[in-house]
Amino acid sequence: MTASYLTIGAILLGSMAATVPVFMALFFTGLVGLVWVVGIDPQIAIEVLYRSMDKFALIVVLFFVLCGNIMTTGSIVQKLIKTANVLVGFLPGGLAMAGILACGFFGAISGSTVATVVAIGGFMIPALIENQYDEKFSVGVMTTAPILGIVIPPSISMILYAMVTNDPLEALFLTGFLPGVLIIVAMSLYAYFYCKRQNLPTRARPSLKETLAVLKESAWALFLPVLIFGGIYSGLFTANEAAVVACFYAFFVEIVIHKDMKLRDVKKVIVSSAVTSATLLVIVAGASVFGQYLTFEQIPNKIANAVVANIQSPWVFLLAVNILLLIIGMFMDIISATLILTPIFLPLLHKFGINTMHFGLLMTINLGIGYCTPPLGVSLYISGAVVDRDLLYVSKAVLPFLAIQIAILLVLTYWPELVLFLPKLVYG
Amino acid sequence: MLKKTFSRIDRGLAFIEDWTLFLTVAAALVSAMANVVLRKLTSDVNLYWSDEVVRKTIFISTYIGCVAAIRHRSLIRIDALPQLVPLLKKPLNVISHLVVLVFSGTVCWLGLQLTRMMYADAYAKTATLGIAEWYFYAVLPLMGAMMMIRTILVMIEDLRDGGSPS
Repeated sequence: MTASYLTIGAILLGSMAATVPVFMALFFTGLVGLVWVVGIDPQIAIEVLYRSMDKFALIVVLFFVLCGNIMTTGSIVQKLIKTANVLVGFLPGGLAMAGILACGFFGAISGSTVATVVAIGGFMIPALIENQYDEKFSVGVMTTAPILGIVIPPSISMILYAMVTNDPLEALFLTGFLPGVLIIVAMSLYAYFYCKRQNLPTRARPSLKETLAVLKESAWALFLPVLIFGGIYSGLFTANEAAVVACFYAFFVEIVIHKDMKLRDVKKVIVSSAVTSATLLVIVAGASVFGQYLTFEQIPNKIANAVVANIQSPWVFLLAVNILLLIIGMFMDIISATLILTPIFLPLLHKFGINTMHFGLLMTINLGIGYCTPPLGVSLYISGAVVDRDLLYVSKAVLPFLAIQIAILLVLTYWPELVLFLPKLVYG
Repeated sequence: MLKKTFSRIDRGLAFIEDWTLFLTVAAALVSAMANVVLRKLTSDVNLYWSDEVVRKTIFISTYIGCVAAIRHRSLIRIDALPQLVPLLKKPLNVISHLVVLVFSGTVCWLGLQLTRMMYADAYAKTATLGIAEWYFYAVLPLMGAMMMIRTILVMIEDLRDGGSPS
């Protein structure tokens, strides 16, 4: 039995290391396990490919990806940046704070870190450098702040996590708000003191009239997160419906109000969103085939029993998992890691009495940090391309900000009440 | 001549991929929105078929989107090894393409068997609209076939570019 598990593990890791698309690596590993180890008909794997995609809940991934793409094609992003800038841009380090806040605004609509780095980082890094901010600092802050894209709801990784754990998505989303604010405040404070020490020139505080003019101009863009969260938490929409309404609203604002998107752009945006969404959702399909094998063999329970026999304290378990996830995040993207690891961790959470929503948030932040850790941190490559710097330079630039995020991760790990405060307040 | 033929196949496939994706996602978006509006504005009107349309269109768009993702080279993969050892980039790229071909063949073969089984079952119909299920099962072997052609085109493109992925 151990030999077959080792072979299955070797196939999975070997094919992933050989740059085989993740969903195919999962599919083949699951197929080999089902046919060779469990001994059932290979057609079950195809049936799982079909059934795993025949779910209404998947709509939310596609439509939040589409909403993010509409915003980046049109001018909603620029308006969010402008608003953030008028609100905090006059403080020492204000432009950096505006970038962090804009990531928060964007995160409250899009749900993806990569989209946030491209949309906000691509614009803000040159703007910061132009305004005499240190290049390393500018790269560091705008590479790491986009973690807010997946921490502040809606979050694509939380959606996939909820699919595995069956946690209510609306409640799981609420776990991200306070940690998101905590990250914004902590990173902004660092920017404030860093820039004050550097004696960077500050901008004059905008008059009330100027502020109101910018807010008026951005009102349609700012209403989008209000529509999504107001709709969900007032009970008007489910998260699925909110995603659909948000897409229509974003199309309406960009085409009719802002007039920054032409009708001919609609097809392009929809097709590119469908491709992006497909690359995420097929991993769900591959993970379902692999998960079928894990379930047949009761592997998660066996791992859980082995871990519980060696670790007794939930605190030690969480610390060990945090370290493990930080290492995994260096090599694996958040979607694959969430879908592969959640079914394995799930029985352990029950055994240690850890709330699954608390753990979902920890997993999201932890793997989100992986976007900024070498050798595979996608955000590092994107920001590096913006300033034409190598991986080593960007990796050094993000260090102080990663230290802040890891410190926040530790606080959240051992303070579940903070993470679960809003879900408990709203849903009891 | 051969180049022209490949380019024609490439454009034809891209046309099918793009329009399938656009039409399925647009259909899902419009039917889901119509359902939301009707449910909120009226107390008794409800598009009972909307959920099924959305589920089936997302299913189609995911698997056809996968074929388009091969064209865009955007399928998620872990490329740590070629980053660390650039010398491995070309051989791993070839292995990856070969695995995609094997996957396409497997899905084509097993999917076709399952589709034929569904075709033979007169009662295999969708719950609300009563559409024969085999139409949807057929998307999987179709994806396998399209993926195979698309991968071969990408491999030819790589060969033309000197063996490295562009």
